[in-house]
Amino acid sequence: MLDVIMVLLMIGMPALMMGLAKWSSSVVDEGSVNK
Amino acid sequence: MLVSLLSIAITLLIALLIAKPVGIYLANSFNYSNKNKLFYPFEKLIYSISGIKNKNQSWKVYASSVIVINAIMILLVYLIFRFQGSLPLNPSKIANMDPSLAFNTAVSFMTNTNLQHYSGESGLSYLSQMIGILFMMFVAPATALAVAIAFIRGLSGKSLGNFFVDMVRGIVRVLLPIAFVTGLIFVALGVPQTLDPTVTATTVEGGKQNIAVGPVGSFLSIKELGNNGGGFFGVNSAHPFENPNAMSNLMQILLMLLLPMALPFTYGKMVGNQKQGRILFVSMTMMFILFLGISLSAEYQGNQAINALGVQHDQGSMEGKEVRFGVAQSSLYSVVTTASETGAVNTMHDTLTPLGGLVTLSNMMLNTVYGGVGAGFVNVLMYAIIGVFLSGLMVGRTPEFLGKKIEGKEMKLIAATLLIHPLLILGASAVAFFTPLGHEVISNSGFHGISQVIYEYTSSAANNGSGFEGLGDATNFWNISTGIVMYLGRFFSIVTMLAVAGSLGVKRTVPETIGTFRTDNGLFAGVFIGAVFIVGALTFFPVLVLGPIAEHLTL
Repeated sequence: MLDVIMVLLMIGMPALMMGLAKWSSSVVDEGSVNK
Repeated sequence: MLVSLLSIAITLLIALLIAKPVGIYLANSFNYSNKNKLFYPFEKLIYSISGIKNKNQSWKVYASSVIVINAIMILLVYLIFRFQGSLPLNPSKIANMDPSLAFNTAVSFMTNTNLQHYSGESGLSYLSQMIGILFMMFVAPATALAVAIAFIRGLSGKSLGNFFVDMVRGIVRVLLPIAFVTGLIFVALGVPQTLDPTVTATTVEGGKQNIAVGPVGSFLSIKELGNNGGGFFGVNSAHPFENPNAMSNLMQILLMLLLPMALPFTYGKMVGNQKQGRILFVSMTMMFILFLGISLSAEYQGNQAINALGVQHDQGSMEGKEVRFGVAQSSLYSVVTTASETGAVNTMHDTLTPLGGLVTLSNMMLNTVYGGVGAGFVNVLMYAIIGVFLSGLMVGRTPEFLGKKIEGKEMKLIAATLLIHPLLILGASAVAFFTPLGHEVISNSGFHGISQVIYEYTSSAANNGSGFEGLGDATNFWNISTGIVMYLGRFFSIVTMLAVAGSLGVKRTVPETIGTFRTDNGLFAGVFIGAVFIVGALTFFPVLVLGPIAEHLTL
């Protein structure tokens, strides 16, 4: 059981970071005054 | 004492002298047009086997590559730890690791933290040590080095490059050759390098004693060079096989400082203005010397409560210290290992004086006094941008850094990066204090107990990995909670800072005018140090008051 939780964590945390990358991308794509 | 201080001065002088040439070498190593005759054939072979194409990546692809490749490696190493009992190279018949401990260890080494909730000599087989741990000790710093180089490229208006090429170059041109040579030197200095099982010796009283040996020399060099810090033995570099003499101690300190001290010069070379790198180097060195001075002063004064009993304390506070190294080399090691986010120890940090402990905590909380290889320098540049931004606000000008205008979107990403570090440390500590699973394993009541918990999570979030010890942390709660903190402490800032680099990289460079705030002079050094201390102090001062400062005042 603990193995399953650990594997889920090891997959879930990178997935969270990919979500963070998506959010960061939306921030970067905001309008710039100096492109 | 004078001789001890002189030995510290000589150590630091050597470190300062080699920093610039190594920094220039690093910059050349990551220059794609540099096809080094010695290393390029190896790299070409790796590229052809693995199918790596040297194509520039956008920041999103670069960050995704970092996340995905690290996730795969964490899973693979987890499996090795879980099944090590049935795998070869296990002469001492070491059992499989428990799931939560295997998770903690895999995340710990892949994030360059090397927090160890196990004893290497009894918890890992040789296969786990060499394929699992040693492998990650190369890949983790190479990942951080690649991210730092990509970040610098973005700041200087270039493409971020290719993560896989950067990682291969970091391993082949930097980590492997230096680790190989220094590993041989360590073996010559008396560090074991063998695949023989644990030696059983008969003591003079006729008892049996198991003496652990193993491939320690090869492990030790990359442990220090890559700012990894995980010990082959449970007591790390306080073990006579892992740090046999003064020369091996000197080598370890120099290796820990080598890449973090070199990176400002790499930065200066890559942005085409050595003054930019030099001013950051000087700023960090000033903070380092300040912290070292506080630590030395506290440790030489000793424990005031013990001194009051009339115990002779000429040597300072020797509690928890190796007599081979004494106060000076122990203090220096503790400051270097936390400044460079290595986490190796030659003294037990739990027994440092409260102010000595405060210094180690502060180094990790600020994570900018050199900082760990790659990730630390990205943090330094983040504080530099914050300094420029705050100065811009004060004089009412749009802030610029290296000719790139800093706008709200970059500051939004930087603010998120800035907040995640204290959030992880203080949030996780609050949960630990609140739940029996967390606070029941604290071995000291009162202020020192607070320091124990804060240290564990600070060390995890800063990817340092040293332990304050005294905490019964080999439980599911601590394994899982510190595992999550280590992971987020590492990869959150990698993603957001690569986004900042990507954002700045595509902006046109604004010509320098008389009104431009220069980032290569003494004023900027003051702004940078001010930003580090004000932001750091504002965030962490209350918890430091509850821990080491209160302990010092009540001794």
